Amino acid sequence: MDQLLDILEELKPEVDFENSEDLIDGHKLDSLTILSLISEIEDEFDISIPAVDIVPDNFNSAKKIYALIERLEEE
Amino acid sequence: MKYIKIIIFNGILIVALLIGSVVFTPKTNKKAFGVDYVTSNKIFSETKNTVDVIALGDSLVYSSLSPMLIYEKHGYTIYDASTPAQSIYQSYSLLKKIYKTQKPKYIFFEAESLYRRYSFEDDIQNRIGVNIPILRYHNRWKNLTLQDFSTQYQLSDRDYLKGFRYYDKVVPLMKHKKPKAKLQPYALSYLDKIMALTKAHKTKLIFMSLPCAKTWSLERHNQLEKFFKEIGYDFVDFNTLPLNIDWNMDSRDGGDHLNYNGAKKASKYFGKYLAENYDLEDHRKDPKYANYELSLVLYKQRIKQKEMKTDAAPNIDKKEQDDDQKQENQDLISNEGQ
Amino acid sequence: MSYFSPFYLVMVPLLMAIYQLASRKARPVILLLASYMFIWFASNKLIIYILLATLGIHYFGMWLDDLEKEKKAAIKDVERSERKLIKASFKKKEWHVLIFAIVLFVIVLFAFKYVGFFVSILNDIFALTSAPVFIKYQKIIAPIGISYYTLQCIAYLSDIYLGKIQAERNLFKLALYLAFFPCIMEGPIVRATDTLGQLTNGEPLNYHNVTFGIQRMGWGLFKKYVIADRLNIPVTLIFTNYAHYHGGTLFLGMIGYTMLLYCEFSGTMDVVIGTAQIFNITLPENFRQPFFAKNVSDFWTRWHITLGAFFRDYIYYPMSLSKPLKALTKKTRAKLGNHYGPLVTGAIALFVVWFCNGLWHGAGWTYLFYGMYHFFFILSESLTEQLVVNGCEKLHINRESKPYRIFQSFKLCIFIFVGEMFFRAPTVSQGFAMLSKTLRDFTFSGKELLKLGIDKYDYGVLIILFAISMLKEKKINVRETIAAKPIVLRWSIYYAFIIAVLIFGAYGVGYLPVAPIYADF
Repeated sequence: MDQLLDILEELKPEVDFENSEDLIDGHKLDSLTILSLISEIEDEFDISIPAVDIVPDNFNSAKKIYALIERLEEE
Repeated sequence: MKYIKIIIFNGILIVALLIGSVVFTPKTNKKAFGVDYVTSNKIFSETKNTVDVIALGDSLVYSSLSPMLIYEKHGYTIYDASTPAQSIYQSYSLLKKIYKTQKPKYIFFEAESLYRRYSFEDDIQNRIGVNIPILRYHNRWKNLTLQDFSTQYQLSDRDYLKGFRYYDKVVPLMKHKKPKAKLQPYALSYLDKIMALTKAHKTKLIFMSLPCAKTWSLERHNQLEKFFKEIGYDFVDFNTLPLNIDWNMDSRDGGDHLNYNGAKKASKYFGKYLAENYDLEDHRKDPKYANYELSLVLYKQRIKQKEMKTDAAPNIDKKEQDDDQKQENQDLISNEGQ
Repeated sequence: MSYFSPFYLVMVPLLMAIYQLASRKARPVILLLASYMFIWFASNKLIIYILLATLGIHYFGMWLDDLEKEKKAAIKDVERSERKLIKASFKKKEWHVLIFAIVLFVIVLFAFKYVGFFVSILNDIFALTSAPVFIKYQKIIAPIGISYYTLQCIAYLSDIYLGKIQAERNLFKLALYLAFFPCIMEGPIVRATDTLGQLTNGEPLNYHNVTFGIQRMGWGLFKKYVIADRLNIPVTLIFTNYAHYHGGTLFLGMIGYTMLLYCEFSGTMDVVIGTAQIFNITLPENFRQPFFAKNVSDFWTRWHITLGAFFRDYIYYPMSLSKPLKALTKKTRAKLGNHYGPLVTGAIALFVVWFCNGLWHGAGWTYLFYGMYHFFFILSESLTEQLVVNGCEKLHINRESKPYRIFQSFKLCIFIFVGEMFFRAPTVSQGFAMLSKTLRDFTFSGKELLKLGIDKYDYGVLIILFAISMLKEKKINVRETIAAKPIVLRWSIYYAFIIAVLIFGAYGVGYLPVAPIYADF
């Protein structure tokens, strides 16, 4: 989780990732940033995020992103 | 409870619209700034029951028939109840209104509107405009006066051209696409209403096609001839009669409408045609028709002025003519979209 | 036929009555019949295309679904290693089906919308190379709404392929999903997950939804009749005779056109969403205070939202996450670092998105230019973002402060005005001519402004009402606030509003109504 937060902080320093619940719905992460985020997560955690999982619900908070990572790691 | 609320809400709204409609309806017929066509609307200022013949229809009517020329020659009282691109619904509602003050013996109805596209959608739109005047005259908020808050109407302004419009431009005949000969079904349903209306007022309804090189075709002529024969009405096609129209000299727009030269020929023939076929009185000596005598004097003066000043002086009717032109252009667009 | 025509406004209450009187089961049928009637009125025989499209997605959707079921059956009692192979082979089959269907839909759309444009390009090339060939082409009328429902078809099938939704086996439901009359002409582009479930509920009308729906429609009518239609004559004059006007007037023309476009389109959306709400159907929003956006990229999450979302979900992400582009991202990240690395792939996908976006709006150079214009600004925003953040920190500028936000909005509005000017201009070169004149000759002339076909009263109405509508835009929940007021005040507000629309509306003699702009795309 800390690893993920580090990545997020680095991408968008001005957003409070620990408490935000509306990263996508609140338009805090734009589509280009998400692209950077995905490629970093994929590298860092050695997983592959399929297009199906790129839905707002999976990216709205750091917790949710982490849940997605955990799920994909298990598969 | 909710239903009562809905009813009350709409009730108050309707009352507000009715009051608004009274306020916004023009109180004079001088110039209701282009909303109503001034010339045709001035028929409501004519002395009660003095107009014997109503010529109803679109721009062909006010371009072709000069009532004053016919009055001068025969003493018949005619009025052009015609507006640019008049749809059959407008003809119907205008005629209905005319019957409130006039008892015409004959109605001549220009048959071109039976070919004009008129849909259910247009019909609803027209009905709303006529029945809720505030929608039609809403733009008068820009020049409302105190007088508008009373119900005093002053419909006194008379038109000494009796609905006719003077155009002196000459544009030689141009090429036109052959018009389609397809009677519009929705327009025909209004035709029934017009026939019922004239029957109820014991007026004879006659259909006509005025000279027009653009929208006339033999196919249309035959179709109309057959159609009116079947329903038992008179039909007269001035395109097939010897009017001696020279389309290179007598048109103001290359064959669609006549100019004053053409109108003189058409009116002369029309007067003769009335004298030969219909039973009309000569009102020239009758004191009740003094207004027509006066109009004739003014009319002659005006024509003289116009003929002298052609091209030189600024045209006082320019704005009005421009407005008509706009309307006619619109008409053109919608007709080509068929 | 448009959502603002008196005809439509008369038909909706009629439909409400029929809907309410019908049984629960019959109600969706009535909605479908009404929808087909609407389409018939708008495009007559061309209704056949939407019927074919409905059959198309029904068939292909079930095909995809059947493949998925077969796959499940096939991998049931198989070992893990083999499972992967079977899965892959089925995925491939499904992919082929999907691509085949999408190509089919795109070809039909292409035939209606773009053939003329490409033929004209070909002819230009022939003329340039003086080849003795000239292709004749007659413009054809496209079926109403084809640009919108084609996208819906593609989204629906893609969602099945991606496993987001299951195929709908009920043909009737799909037909209503595709043809639902409020959104057939100008969107919003709805996903199956948005409406497929609600459309066939057949719930009776309820007071809350009916009143709120009608109010929403009223607000849309206001924007269209009072503002957009009033702006149409001056804007048309400015864009056709731009050479005769001062730069200041041209600048006002750009603003005017942007406002016209916004009021026309978002007004249509209000009528559309309001109509749907009357029948208890919630449609997705298409606008969210676009002029309060931070930057161009943010703007596009607030303006024509459903179109942007379509391109994002069905072109941008699938493309940038495809294998070749992912490999590219890896390479560029190694070379350019974490921030700029992914931007390369992002830029490629973004380029495709904006190319398609431009093309979707119409076959023409101005639209392609419009797409590229936005592509350019969105990309440069991303490239310079780091610099701006650092710069602001050094200069001690708080990027959340009010003055900075106002500066951002101001900058954005200028970008948007210029972009929409190119969008409206008949040719790209006229767009540049207008832009250069605006910059060279930025003077205002009051006399000129009064010669634009509207008088001082119209300007008064525009300024006052535009200010009011901006206030409303800032506070989205005005309706709830009004609904909570005591009845006398509440009703007075409603009456004042209705009468204001009726009186100040720019309809009838002397005005030129805006044709539905987005229905042509």
